[in-house]
Amino acid sequence: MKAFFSPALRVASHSLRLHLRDRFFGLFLLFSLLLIYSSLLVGVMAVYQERRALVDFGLALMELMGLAFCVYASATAVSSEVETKTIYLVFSRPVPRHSYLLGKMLAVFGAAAVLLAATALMHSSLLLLRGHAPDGPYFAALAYSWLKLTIISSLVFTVSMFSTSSLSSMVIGFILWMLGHFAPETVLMAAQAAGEGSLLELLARLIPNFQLFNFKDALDVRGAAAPPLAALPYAAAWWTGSYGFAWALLRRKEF
Amino acid sequence: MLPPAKDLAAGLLFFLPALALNPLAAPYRPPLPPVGEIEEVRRGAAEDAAAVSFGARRLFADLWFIRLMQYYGTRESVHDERAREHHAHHHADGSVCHHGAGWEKGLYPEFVPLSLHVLHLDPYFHSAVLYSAASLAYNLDRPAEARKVLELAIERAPREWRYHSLLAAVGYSGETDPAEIVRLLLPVVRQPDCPTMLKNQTAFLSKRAGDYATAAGIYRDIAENAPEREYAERARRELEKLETEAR
Repeated sequence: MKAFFSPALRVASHSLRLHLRDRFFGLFLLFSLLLIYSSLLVGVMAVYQERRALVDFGLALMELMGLAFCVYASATAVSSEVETKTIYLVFSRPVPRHSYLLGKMLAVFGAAAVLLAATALMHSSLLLLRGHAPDGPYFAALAYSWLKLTIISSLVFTVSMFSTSSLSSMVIGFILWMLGHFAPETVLMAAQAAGEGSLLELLARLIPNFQLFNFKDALDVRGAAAPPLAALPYAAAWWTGSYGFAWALLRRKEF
Repeated sequence: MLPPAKDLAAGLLFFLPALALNPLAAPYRPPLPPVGEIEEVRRGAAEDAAAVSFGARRLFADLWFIRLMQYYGTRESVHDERAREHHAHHHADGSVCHHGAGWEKGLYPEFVPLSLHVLHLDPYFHSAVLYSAASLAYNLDRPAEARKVLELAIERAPREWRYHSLLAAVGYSGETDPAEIVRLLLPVVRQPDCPTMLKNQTAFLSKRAGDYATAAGIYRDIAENAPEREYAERARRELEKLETEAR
């Protein structure tokens, strides 16, 4: 167990530091902060619905910026190390491929958490400045957003293992994100187009149901999001699936 | 180059737990109307698709509500220039033509489609629903359409008690005694996010029903808390009038 997790954690902490120092991370963070600040204007336009407008814009912007960062970071995590040949150095040491992959995934999850936390700090300060204290549902929505980001990151990792370029991994990542927000409809459409039990329907079922975590879309509705006891195992199942699939492809990959 | 089929198949096996959990996860989706029920307005289909695809229906409901307020806040003239000039002129004695109720109120043909669009995106946006229904019922004299908006809102979000109260109040609109309408609206008006327009209307009806204490309470709330300056100033004037009358 230690032999599995110890190198993974070392890879994770090193990769996390690299992510946080990456200029793209800084750009995403800066852009998020600027957009959140500019959402003040929307709050003013919403007149007596300022709180709602500020909260909705902030949560959506944080998630979208997080998505852009996670898709980019996951698509390039392994491929950039292959291109720069850093991966040879890593594998020349006693780092198993499965630990390396786990470390890389954990680093992206961690960087997404840092990005969300930094932007949430700025957004909460802005809300407090306008006299609207962030409440429990606000933080719950953030936590669910992070779960969504970790699922899409792990899926993009999987895609990047067989994709021909980082760009195509990113495009597929964005498509999965979109389809995941109407997963039941996607399955229905696939079944209607190619017939029930078809390959297309099976592929449609391989899309996670992101609505399960979309608490920010129903902040005022009780029981709108899956309770954590249901959401966490679901997220864990997708992490495991993506990790397992990526590992199955990476273990025999020749660099 | 694609990996060997054996590796792909082995990899797919790892997704089995996730696939097994997918049907169990289905009931937990937010109780929002299905995508197919969102009706397009102002050629905004691409925007609606973005709202759903990025899981940001609430955000887009806010945007459409801002558009609705801007649309309704823009003066819409239903008369031509000559008719407006005639009715705006002052007579020798300083009086102006009596235009009657509803003069230059505007028709706002897009009001209902825009209101319904907000409702389709987020039926739990009670402030928007109350604003739309109250404007239709009390400002635009279109109670039938107000009922339509409220009935759809109740269908989508049956537990929203504010919709039921306003629907009942709109139902009483034709009655001569406004006290019953005030009784129905008071719990809605006491909510912090109630539209100022509805608060103002309730205060006016309270005054008409002879319940000056309630009217003064609502006007005080508007004067102190309304973000709209015009409403706040009007409420202050009304408060002064009520205090003068009380003396």
